[in-house]
Amino acid sequence: MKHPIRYALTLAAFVGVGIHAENTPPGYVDFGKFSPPASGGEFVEVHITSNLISMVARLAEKNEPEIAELLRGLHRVRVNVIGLDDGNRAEMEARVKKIRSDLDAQGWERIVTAQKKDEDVGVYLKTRGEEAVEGVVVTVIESNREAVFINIVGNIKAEKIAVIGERFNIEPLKKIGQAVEKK
Amino acid sequence: MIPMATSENLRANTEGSKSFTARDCHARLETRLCCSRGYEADSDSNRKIRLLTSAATNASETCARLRLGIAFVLALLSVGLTGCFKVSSDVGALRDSVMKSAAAQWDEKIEIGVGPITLYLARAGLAFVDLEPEARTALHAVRGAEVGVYKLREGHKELKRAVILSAVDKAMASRGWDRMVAVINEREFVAIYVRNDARSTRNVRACLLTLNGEGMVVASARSNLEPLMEMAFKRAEWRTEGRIPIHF
Repeated sequence: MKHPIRYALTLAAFVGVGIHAENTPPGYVDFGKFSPPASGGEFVEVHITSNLISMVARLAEKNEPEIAELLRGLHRVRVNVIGLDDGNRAEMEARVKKIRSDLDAQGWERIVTAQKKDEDVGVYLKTRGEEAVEGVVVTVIESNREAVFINIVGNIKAEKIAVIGERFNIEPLKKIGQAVEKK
Repeated sequence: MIPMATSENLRANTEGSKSFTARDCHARLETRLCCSRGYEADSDSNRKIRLLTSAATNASETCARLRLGIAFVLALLSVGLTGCFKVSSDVGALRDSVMKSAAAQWDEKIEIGVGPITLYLARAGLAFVDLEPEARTALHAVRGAEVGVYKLREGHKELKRAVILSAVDKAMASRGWDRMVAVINEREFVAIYVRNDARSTRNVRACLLTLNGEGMVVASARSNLEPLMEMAFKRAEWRTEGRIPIHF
């Protein structure tokens, strides 16, 4: 072997990629990096990781056991809201289109599609049989105002989603729960 | 102890030896008596001296302990007081990363921090004050807090928020903090960071940054979340009756 060190490094890189791929949960979607719009429009980014979710689940156990049970199944929650201006509107629309086509290619199920005059909503689910939901992706483009990207990763029991939607009157969760129950 | 000499003893001792005059005997007797009383007097004074010496030793030990105690309390107070007027290294890093990336001049208005000692004293003092139960719960839950307020020297200035956010994220990530929330719009810039190794609900730390065209506020708090969450759940807003539907 002429270059053992180079060979070892290449092998280590492949192994590292393999390990990373294994560690990435099935419901995780990488939206990429977002920057605040130059015009000063809205920019909201929420990223909650598993250790924080576990803490909140423990805190909620006593008073809201249903919420605590749902939270224990979550691994990650990411929400991005980006205000649209002339500088980023085309880029955001292209990104939404690419994310949706990638999800379709990866076997995600599109359960909600709503396209109105100035609103384009897509809700995707990654399920594990009929037992659990491994990931939820919501993409929204409101043509003049903002783009919304949501990814929830976890091991969520499908019936719990509808319960939480009913409990807290969250319409999209009710729809997701109903769509999953119809399957 | 030297036996008390008597005239008879002296006479007995001197029998067979040269005869002494009565005066000599008396003088010797008096000397012996004086010596024996002196020995007793010596014993008493030695005892008194020993007592005085031990009392003096005890007093000096007590003084030394008292001085040590006063020095300790003064040290605690000085640490508490000087620690009050600066922020921790993490909050300092947050502040510095904003100042460097904003490419502007800043004036410090105030930096203040309260740690466990100050909070303990505050809780002890406020125990005698009539406080709302929620306020008292919050005061007991907080383990430490600090805040720094800084003003832009140039007055109202347009800041490059994307650059600042990226710089702050990098600085905080290198110190073990993850950004949980960022909200940026025309009027405000708010970012909240939490420790990426946070596991216990009883000791949660968070750092906050708010920024606008006039100045910046950095803050940090360490708290036991359990009583605060208990308080939050009890509040009426968490009840579902009459809740407005949430759409997005």
